Amino acid sequence: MSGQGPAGGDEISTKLLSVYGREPLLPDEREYKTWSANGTCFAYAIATWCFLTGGYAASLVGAVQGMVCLIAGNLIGVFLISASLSAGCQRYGIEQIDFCKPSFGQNGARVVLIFYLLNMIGWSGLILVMFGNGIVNIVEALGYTAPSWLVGAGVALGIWLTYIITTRGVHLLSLFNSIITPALIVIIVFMFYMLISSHGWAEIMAAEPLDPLPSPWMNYAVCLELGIASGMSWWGGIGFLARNTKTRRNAIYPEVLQLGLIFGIVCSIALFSGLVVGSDDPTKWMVPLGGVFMGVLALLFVALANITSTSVSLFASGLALRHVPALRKTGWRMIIALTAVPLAFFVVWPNELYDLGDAFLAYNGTMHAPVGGVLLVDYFFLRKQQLHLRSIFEAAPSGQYYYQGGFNVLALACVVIGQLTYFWVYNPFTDEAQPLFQFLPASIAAFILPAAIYWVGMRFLRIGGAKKGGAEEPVVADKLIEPNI
Amino acid sequence: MSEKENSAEVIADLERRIDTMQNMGDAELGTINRLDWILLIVVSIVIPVIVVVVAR
Repeated sequence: MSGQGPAGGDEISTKLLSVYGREPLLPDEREYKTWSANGTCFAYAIATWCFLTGGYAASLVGAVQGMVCLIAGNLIGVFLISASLSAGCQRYGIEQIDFCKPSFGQNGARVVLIFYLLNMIGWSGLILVMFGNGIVNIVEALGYTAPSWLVGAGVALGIWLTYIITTRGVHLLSLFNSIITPALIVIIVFMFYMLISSHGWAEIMAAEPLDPLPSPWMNYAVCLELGIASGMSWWGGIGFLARNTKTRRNAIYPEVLQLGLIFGIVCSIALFSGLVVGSDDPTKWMVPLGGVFMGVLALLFVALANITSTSVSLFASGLALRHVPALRKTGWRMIIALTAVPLAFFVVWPNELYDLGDAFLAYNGTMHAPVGGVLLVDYFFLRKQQLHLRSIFEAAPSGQYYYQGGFNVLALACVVIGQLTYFWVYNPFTDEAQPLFQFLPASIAAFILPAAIYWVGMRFLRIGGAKKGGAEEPVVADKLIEPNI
Repeated sequence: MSEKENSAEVIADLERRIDTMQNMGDAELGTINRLDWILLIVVSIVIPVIVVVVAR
């Protein structure tokens, strides 16, 4: 540590390696207690994507079916994807790419890392464009004409704000959320009240979907898939949040409650507004419903919540970049700056890249389910929640999680099988689906099948390249031979 | 401090943390028992699946 502030300098001290690096985080170094864990999850959950998700659901189904799909789907998706990650990352204080090593292998986890970084940076870019659009919406709600460059400028401002928050650590993020969260709760409740008092419950319940597909069952199935995939899409932030919680209950309950239930409820409010107003654009109903003052205030806090969401994503991405050997001792500010570099493309081409968002998100959705299935089976059913922590940080072939050449080919094959399964059951690009999709969401199929294959392969066939000597057998090494940190 | 010394310190700290976390129990990390998991599964899986089937 060179003494240039909490995260500055070219080198990083041993103490800060835990907070800004991959070292196991000890309980007294963790930031989140019950309130802050819930607050951060809430602020992470409530961003513009709620309104987009709710708006998309409004194009397919009515209020009741949409609410069921969004809330139930989110709960199912979040729980399936977060159970193992939150339990494991909290128990051992590790970030989530390290958590992937017992199942994917030392080098196999780096394959997951590539997809993980693409996912997190892509998500961050899309959210920052939403932040830029939020600024445009506020300007227009105030009666001004927004110039075309304002979205890109908003993205640049968002990157700067995110950089400021992320480089000052989890404590500032928690503090930021302690201000944003209560305000968001008040505003969302107020907006919901205004929505109900303006249009009435009966009108909302009777509203027809805006642009449904020809087949009724397909609309319901796609909307349910949207809910489950949205829940699973939290995969990227789960490890970061759980690693920073002090107790096991705080690692899992806030995620299910906030990222699952509350996210689903807020999406449902957006669904209702979309159905009666006919638009997923918050400005189309927030300002008319709440008046200019409350409408603009609501837009402002939703825009700020986008910064919170991006900060969590960038923090997690920065930690994940520590897996790159050349960046293991790089200063935290430099790490975050490097993470933010690809986001510059969103400053230059915000709308062009945003238009590619659907395809990007659909592809990402196919990744989360199989990775989540493999991790769940590996942690709970194969290793019985017991990891050999030293082997996670051991790059030498003698480590328990080295497999063959550092890759567990079975786990990687299961991810590919899961993706193929997803596209076979339902192709999100073409909306083509098998009849099975009526009863089994694609995400669930892409979760269960790889999980089952992985369990059989690891338990009975040992085709993953696993050493003879699983987690249940005595630990041999008591010192690191080739530390990967 | 030289790079070699710094690296040795980092590894020593990592070893200490590994030993600490590997041997840590419920007292330090909080408990989550079978009842918690049953509650989570009921709330997150069982009830949502029932509602989804009924609303179909």
